[in-house]
Amino acid sequence: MKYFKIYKALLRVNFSYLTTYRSNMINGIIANSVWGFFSLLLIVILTSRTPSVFGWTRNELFLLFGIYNIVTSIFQFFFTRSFDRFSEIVNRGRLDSILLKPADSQFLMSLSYTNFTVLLRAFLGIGFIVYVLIQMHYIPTLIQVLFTLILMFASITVLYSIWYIVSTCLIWWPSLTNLVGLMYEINGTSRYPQEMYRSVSSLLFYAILPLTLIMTTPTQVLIGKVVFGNILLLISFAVVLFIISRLFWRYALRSYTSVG
Amino acid sequence: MFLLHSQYVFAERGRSFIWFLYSVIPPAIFLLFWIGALKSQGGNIAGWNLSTITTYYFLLTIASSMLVAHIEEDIAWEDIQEGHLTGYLLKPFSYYWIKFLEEVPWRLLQGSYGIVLIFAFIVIFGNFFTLSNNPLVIALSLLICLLAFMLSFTFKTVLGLLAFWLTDTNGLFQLSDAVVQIFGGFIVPITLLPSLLQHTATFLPFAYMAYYPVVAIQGQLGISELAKVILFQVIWIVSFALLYKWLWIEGRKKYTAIGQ
Amino acid sequence: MSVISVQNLVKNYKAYKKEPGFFGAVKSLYSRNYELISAVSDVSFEIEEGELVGFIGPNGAGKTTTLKCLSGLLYPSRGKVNVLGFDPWKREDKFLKQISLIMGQKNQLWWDLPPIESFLLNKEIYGIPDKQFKETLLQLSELLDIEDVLNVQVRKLSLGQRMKCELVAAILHNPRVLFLDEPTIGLDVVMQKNLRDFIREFNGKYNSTVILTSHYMEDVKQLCKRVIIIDHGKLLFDGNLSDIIKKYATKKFIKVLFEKDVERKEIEKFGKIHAYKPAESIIAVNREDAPSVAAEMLKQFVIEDINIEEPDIEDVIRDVFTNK
Repeated sequence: MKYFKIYKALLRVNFSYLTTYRSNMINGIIANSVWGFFSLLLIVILTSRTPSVFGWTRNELFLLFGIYNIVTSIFQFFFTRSFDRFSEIVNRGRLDSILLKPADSQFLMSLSYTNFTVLLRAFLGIGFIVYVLIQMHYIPTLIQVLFTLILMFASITVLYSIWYIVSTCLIWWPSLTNLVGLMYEINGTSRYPQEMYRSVSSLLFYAILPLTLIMTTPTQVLIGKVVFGNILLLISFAVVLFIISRLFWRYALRSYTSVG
Repeated sequence: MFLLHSQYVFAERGRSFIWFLYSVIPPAIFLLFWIGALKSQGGNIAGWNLSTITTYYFLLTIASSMLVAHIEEDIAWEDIQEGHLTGYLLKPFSYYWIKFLEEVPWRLLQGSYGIVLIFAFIVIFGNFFTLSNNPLVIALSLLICLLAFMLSFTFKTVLGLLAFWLTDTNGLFQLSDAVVQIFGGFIVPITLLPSLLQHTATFLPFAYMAYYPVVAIQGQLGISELAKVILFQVIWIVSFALLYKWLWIEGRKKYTAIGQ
Repeated sequence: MSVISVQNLVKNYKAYKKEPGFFGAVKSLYSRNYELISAVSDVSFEIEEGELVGFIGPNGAGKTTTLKCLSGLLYPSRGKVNVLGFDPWKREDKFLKQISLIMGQKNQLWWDLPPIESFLLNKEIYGIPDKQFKETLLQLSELLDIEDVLNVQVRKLSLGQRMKCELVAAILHNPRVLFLDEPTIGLDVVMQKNLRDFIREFNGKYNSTVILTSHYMEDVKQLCKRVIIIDHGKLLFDGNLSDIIKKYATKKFIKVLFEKDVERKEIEKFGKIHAYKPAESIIAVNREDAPSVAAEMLKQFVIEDINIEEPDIEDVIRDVFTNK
């Protein structure tokens, strides 16, 4: 309850910030429209000469990219601005200010900054998916949609935990400020079918297993090609990785508070 | 001055390595995609086969880490908006060439990561590589690479100078990024783009920044075609250089008038 | 039960050394030298509720480190720390709600928004009830004269107004213990005075315990009865300000105004010259000798005015540091 109130206050502050800086907001709208469009264009470009690959048809790949679009947009709405500032907070001593507050530090580190304009991309993604589904003459059932949403929530949790664990490393290597930027690229690996990685090397596949799951699994549910093993794995990863992120952060704070 | 900057760059090798990874991951992923796509299409799409596409993406890694300049943010944010430009104005050297010398160590450092990577892969996967073995072709191709860097650098400095007039360059840089990626051959080789985009690419300078250097080294172009590429590169470089000159003069007037 | 209790606090750091230059940087890749720095060594003290205590010491003495240990930002290498009955390092919510640490010019207000927005955010984080929030805000903004700027963007405020708003943000939750680390650094004389007045009022009105560190003597002179001197991590003195002079000042100053010019060497016979002008001089003499020396001088010279003065507390403390 307390955290709900705090988050409401944070949203308010962020929204104030958004409306105060009109040019920033317009810039954000333009940039997000460009990138939203661009990321969907990507799959069109890639598949313009291949009707099917890795056992996925062109339309199914479109859906996969659409889901990727929505999941990352929502993820970015809640978290990326905070992650972008993570290194600044750790390096410039502002972490102290957060540690002195009677609220969970991971909560404050993760949710202090909201990115409103990125929701545009989510809408583009939803529009794209609806369009593709109509082209496919395929309407998913309500239960399918519900499960897809639940799995998307698990995917966001997985993404968040991985990002948080990587960002926590900044406490020991404060100069690696572009680590966060790298995460954006690594995110990008998740929008391709699992099969693509498995066909290259099992080692690679298992190394990035959580990433290959997060987009593929909800899409599979959406189009009715349910793989129970994947669902179980995804949910397990969500829970385990989140717990690890919390434990690792606490461990990092112990180290930070011993040196300052 | 060069050594001092080089020392700084060496100290930043952790971050530099991460920037290198930025340029490795996307081509690697696209390559994986194409391997699967080629399999499903019988090994040949529009003249590209497994070995030429593998070489393409590996060379692209070097191209994007070594040939593409990233100076626009430095110019726009550090120098113009933060006011460090004043320091440069006081030096007796041309701003263009100072920035050039600042950019070179980064490119060399990242290029060295890339070259190590390529040698490793040639040793392991030698038979996947197709490079030209005509010494004249190689010589001309290296010239093309040098010109490509000059082109990319000049273009980026022009972009950076726009910060004299625009307060929010973020949107512009993102747009430029997206455009360069598509039309520079960073996603797929130009000849694999959908026909409309392919046609547009011939009128734009971006293909000359990465695509042509890569296919030149691969030996896909004949001598006369190589000459044509060099000609166009020079034309584009001169055009951007003139544009730079003009923007620099106008921009300086504005900058010193405000007394940043 | 004291509000703050510190027993045998020790805090050590490892500091890595690197050689300068390009090749030094390469060398550091495979060999790292470090030395162990003792930031705080064996410090103990107790502070009661409502006290206003000053920590003085030169830069790097260990004052900030001690404050960070008291507020939970650092954990001690050895020793016991207890604040308000809590172990600060555990950083329990109940503990954090009762303390506040203000560090120099570090700011916590959101830069592009009016201060009121940051205050409202803190209200939720600290769980301050509506009524209490309104009352406290009213009192503080009247006291600090910032009622008009509550709705102005922080970036547009003057340094003084900004500082006041930062202050409000830090004490809106009525902390029982307030830690101030170099609060007057970078401020002009007027702002320094304002800040000191405020701290005094805050301590008096709310009976909160205040600990402040500074290397400006003026802060401590104006505000603190009790003073703790720290240097190189060691506690040198803990007691009343006035006692410092009694304990450490070995000299007194005799300031003389002569009717006629007097030569330097005439004055040197009486004591060490601290300041010399032909018609006016200050000499330093041992405390016990001061009255007799003064009497002698009165006999020897024609004197317009003579004064026996205590040394400046800055000088005393400086001597303490340079001698230890």
